[in-house]
Amino acid sequence: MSMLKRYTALDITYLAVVAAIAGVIFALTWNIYFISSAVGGPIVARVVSYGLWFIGAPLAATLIRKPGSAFLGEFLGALVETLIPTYGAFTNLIYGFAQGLASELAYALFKYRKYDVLQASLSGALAGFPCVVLDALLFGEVFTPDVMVFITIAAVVSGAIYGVIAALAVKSVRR
Amino acid sequence: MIKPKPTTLFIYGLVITILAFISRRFEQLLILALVNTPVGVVLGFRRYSVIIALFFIGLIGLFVNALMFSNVGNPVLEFYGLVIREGVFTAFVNVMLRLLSILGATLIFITQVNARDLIKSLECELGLPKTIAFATAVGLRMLNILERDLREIQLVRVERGFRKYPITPSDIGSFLRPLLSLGLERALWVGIAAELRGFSQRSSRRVGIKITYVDICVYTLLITQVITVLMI
Repeated sequence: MSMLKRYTALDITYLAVVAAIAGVIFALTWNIYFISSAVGGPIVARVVSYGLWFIGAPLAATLIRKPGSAFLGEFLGALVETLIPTYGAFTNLIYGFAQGLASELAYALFKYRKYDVLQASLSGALAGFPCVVLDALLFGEVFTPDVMVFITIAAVVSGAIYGVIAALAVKSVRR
Repeated sequence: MIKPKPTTLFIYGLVITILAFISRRFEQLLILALVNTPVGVVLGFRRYSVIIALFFIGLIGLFVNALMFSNVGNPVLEFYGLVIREGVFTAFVNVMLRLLSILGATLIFITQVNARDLIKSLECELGLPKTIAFATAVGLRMLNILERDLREIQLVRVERGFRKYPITPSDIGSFLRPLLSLGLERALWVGIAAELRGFSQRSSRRVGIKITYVDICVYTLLITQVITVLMI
């Protein structure tokens, strides 16, 4: 709670913009996921789409640059997506919470001193781990160990790529 | 008609979703699906028919998924040389029931709750920090404007000879930049206006949860499901 006291009204409205943009991206990503899954199978679908579901955290953190912003960006995006609502329904909240916490870890590792492209890509990449675990719980997507490694790598790589895109987009706007 | 409080339905939806996540056995999932899906589908049939339709289309994907990753056990069917084993049906039915339960709970929640009322009651009754409540409220308010911005960006891209829908990561970047730029410009003035009205001085108004008999019915239903599922 004390962490949230550091946020000014401006930070909160920036967070709201990120939540709205992330919510829309999350909602549209379902179509991308279904199409890429049908065309390229589970691994291609994860590379193409999963990073988009992790984009709220690097967007918010690169923009606001305060502790907790990565978690809030991802979680509020998921909350907006739940209220829209989309195919993912209430599961979005659980995914958003877990992915937000994992993404926050990337900035915590650097003691909240750096909010650059590297941290954004790491934040996207780390969100891949809880996502794969939750997929296994929800859809029973427990593959053989070698396929599971590929699936995790696909989610992590996708998160890292879209983390970089998010950070670069924010940097170009802030300039 | 007296409706349950938004907080009650939020707690209901969330607990059912978590329960569906952790339940592994067919009987547990069947109970959750049988209670929630019919109510949710009846309530949301008109407004959310697209989501319901998408769910049933998605069942094909679920079956393919089960076929790819759970084709184990005794053979049940042979279809053009493809042997379908009992593991496929078990996995398909379990995941389908899990998703049906979550869909039902979400439809019950969404059809009965207005997003603004939900945020207000989560802040007043459950003590959601005002930072989160305000950000969500502004974010939801911005959704319509964002949709309009998105259409304008698409129009400009088409006129300049670019793709209307983003496909490559670079396309996504070029959609994100103007969206962020426009959104942040608006957010700046919303933030200043909120601060001028004393946002940072405002403390959250906590109100105790006043439970009506409808809420009691919802909580009873929820507790019954939790106990039944955990006992099986």
